Amino acid sequence: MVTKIKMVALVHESKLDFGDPFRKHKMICRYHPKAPTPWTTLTTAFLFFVICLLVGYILYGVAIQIVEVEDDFHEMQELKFLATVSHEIRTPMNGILGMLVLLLDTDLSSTQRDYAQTAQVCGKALITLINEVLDQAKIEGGKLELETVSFNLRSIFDDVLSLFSEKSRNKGVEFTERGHIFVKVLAENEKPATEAKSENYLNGGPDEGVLISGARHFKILSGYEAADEQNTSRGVTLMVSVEDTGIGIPLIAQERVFMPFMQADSSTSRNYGGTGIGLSITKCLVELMGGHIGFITRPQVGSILIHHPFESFKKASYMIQKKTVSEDLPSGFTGSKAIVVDGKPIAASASRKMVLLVGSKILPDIILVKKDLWLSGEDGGSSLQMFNGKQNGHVFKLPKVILLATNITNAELEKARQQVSQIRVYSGKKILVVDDNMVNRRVAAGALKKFGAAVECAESGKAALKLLQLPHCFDACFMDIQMPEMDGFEATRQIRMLEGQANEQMNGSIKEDSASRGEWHVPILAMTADVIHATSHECLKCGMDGYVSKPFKEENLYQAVAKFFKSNPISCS
Amino acid sequence: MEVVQIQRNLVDYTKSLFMEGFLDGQFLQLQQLQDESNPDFVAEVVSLFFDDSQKLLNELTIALDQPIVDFKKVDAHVHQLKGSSSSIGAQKVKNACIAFRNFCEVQNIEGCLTCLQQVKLEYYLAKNKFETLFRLEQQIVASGGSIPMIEMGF
Repeated sequence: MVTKIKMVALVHESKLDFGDPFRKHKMICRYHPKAPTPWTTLTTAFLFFVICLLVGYILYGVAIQIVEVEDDFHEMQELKFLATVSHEIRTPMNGILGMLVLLLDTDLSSTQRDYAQTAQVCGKALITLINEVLDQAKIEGGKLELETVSFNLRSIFDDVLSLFSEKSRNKGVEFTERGHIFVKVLAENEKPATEAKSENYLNGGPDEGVLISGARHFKILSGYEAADEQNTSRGVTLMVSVEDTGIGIPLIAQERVFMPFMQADSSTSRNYGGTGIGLSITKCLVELMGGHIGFITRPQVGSILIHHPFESFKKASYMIQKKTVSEDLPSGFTGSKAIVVDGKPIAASASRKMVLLVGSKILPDIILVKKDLWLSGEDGGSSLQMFNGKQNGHVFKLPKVILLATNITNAELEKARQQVSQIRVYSGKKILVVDDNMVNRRVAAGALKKFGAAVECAESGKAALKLLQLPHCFDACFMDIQMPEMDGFEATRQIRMLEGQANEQMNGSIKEDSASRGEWHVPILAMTADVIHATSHECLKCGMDGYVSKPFKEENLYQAVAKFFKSNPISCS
Repeated sequence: MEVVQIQRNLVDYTKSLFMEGFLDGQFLQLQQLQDESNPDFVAEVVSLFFDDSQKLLNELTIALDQPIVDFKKVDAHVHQLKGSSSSIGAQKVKNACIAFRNFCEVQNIEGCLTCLQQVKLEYYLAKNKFETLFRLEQQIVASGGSIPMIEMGF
């Protein structure tokens, strides 16, 4: 077609000849004024680009995978290596420990025994370390499989407690269960892991985020408390907490608490032992079960570790397994009142719980004292004073004193018994102290009052005689020898004379056998600084029953009269 | 903290008294008899000692001043003094009294007079020391602290 064109330069006449002589064909070419967008090119380029991206991405992903796999592989290798090596180490270690035990059973000299025991301690520490490392490896290697099983919460706690009783006893750590279990329902859960976790859990009782397996610092670790949060028909949430009264976890260490092999600082291992694995193992287990774990801590006060193992437990069919109690709880306690004396409030509340179980209420009739408090000097003294305080008044029924202890050696029991009998022996007794020296009177009176006796003082032999006119209420008398006017010997002689007369009168009117004959004979003991002149022989000659040398030690004073009080004294009603 | 410093001073002071022989184990016994129901036991006994000893020393001075000295009486007084000082653990006083008694037995006036001086000296020294001790204790109690127990390896 022929079209009108403006641009001359851009016109091109085609020289094409169509071969037709009759028509005059003329073909004129020209450019289009606007260049068309090269859609195809663009699309192609774009698609190409996208494809490149995708390919790149895929390659990248693949590369990462390879790296990961390699990492995993290495890790697996490492763990496997650790595990194998640990296992290999464990076998001969057990051999060593076994041999050491046998060795210690034989006759050894003291140095030999010492060496063997040291070796044993080191061996045990090593074995513990290896076990922990193995556990860690196991968990991280994902080798732990969970199995859902029904379990009885209460019996698990009991089992765990008894598992650790030996260990905690040796460390002087008291490990109790507070026993707040509201749920008596059996829940479906995996039993093995709970037990294992509880082990590690308790092993990892937080002491700066470190295993208590090495710790001997903490006096009391208590309260394995399980609280029932929701007791719905859908499921039960279990919350387990372990509290301790330790040094707490400092702020810096708190992030690292659950990391394996991490302890609060480098001195922790030295001071408390442990390797820092317990809590990390616990965390792994808890998370494996789909729960979470956390802690609350306060420095110098202690920490509480809490975990919710599951979001909810399903209630399983409830089987009542009542353990038959082989003997009845002592019924003598029912209805009686008791005081619980304990330095730490946590343990006191645990004890209180137990006391309530036995059937007493908390007011004094029985006094339960923590063994540690009793045997330590101070509080033992204040307990004595408690008794004294009561004694100054009217007649009272001496409360029974019961010691609470996780463990008690025979020696401690004896000592405690002695202390108690000390109070008993002297309480309610009236003692006369005769000395012309004011200071001496005061000191003697102070000592005797501390034992629980009521003391009266006389400052001369004459005054003593007046006070000891029959009938009198005195159970014993301490007499100074060197006194002006009438010395101790003379006074005693006169007292014995009076007694003799009274006895004769009594015996004259009663014709019975000797058992029922009441004899006046107040135990008189000499107090003397002069052991040369006032010998035991001299004292006995004039009718005294013994002597104590001045200045006296408490024990001597106590012993001297105690033996007279053990036999039946003449009591004054 | 102030209280801690005073407590440390007290402990050091008490230890020094033991080291120098002013006090002996009997004083510890006394301290053990002191507790919540008897909070001022030691202070009471020691002030009794002061009063008693003062009287005795006066008597002794008078007795030895007499033209004819009654040694029996002197001996009795010294015996008293010896008894009370040993009961509270004032060791140096007690030792001086023992020396005094020896001279009494041989009826040596010169010796007795010297000993009396010695006893008086020791007594006043001891009194001083005790007073310082109690002052420290009072300071501690006033600042709300508690009196530290002394551990001694006797």
